[in-house]
Amino acid sequence: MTCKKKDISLRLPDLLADSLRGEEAGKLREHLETCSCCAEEFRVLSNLAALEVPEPEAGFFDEMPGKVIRSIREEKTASRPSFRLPAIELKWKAGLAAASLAAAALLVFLLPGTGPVLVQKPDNNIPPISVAIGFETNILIEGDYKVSDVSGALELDVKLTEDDLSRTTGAFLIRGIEYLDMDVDALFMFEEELGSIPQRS
Amino acid sequence: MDWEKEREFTKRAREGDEEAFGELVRAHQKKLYNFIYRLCENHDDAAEVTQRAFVKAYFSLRNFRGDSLFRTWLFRIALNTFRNHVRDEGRRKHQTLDGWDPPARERTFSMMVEKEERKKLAEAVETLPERQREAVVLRVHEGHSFNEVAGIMGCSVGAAKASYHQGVKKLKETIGGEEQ
Repeated sequence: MTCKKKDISLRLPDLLADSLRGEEAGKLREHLETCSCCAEEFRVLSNLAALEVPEPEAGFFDEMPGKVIRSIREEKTASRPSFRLPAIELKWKAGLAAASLAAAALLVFLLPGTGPVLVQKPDNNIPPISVAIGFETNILIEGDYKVSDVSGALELDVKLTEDDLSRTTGAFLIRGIEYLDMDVDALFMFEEELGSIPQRS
Repeated sequence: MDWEKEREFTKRAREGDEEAFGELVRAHQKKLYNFIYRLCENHDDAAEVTQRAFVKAYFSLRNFRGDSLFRTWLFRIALNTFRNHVRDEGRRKHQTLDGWDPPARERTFSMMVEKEERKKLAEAVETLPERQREAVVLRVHEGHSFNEVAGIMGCSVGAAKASYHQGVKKLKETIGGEEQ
């Protein structure tokens, strides 16, 4: 049995949390008396809400603020050296590249939700290009992308900090090439990629 | 912590006052830890992600414009930190229903032993796809509105509702309260 009133189903957690005003809560409760589907769902949600998280060991929450502050101080005092990104594999997308060859020798694309996908003509004679990547107005990565071999690998030197990698929102800017919005998933995939590659020079 | 105090501590922390940030940690740590625990069901991972999320939040405070609740913003950072953690460490404990081989759990929700339905429910939550589980936990356990759920998950309100709806539907099916 199903209930067609999906809006009621979506509001059941509010009834569970007792966060609805009297009249609205009354209407939902009336509905639950006549609709076995929603009543069953409310029962499931009630049981779900009753599942408790085990208490961590004694002192865990007392110690957390101190641990966080110590980590912050460590990060503040840590040096922020240059990182070298040794090689980023480029993915060849024939369809996209064919359309872009007339316009540019090297294109960089970001596909929303899939992380950065770099698209280029597989040609070793492409000159280096200046690229800046930023989130909102902050430039995070700036450097020359240089194609290093015909396999499609490229190298760039960037100044990259842990702080930079902690951004949560923003846009992806590649100066002189494209400006593309970036969703959070893509951003973090990108972050993950960079985070796994840097080596201290 | 009331809104005024939170605003004051946020402002001070943004100016570099670590002790003020410590007060924000004290105010939000339990909610944040519980949220992450419900996603990973592992104390060590939940503790690590919670701590890292707070550190990230501190260094990102200049990006917090106050147009959302601090708690919502913090949950968003925590969820992204958790998603990265899962990817980085391969510690993902829940997968989609298809082809999932359940790992041995070090422990799970404390109330599940006594009641069979709650036991089945706790197990069913573990098998929900990631986004559905996030939506259900944020909505049912944390009491966030769908606008907030969408903000935290980084998706549209419609997508948040759909994830929640599908998640709850699967839970009902799993415990036999709904036709397949």
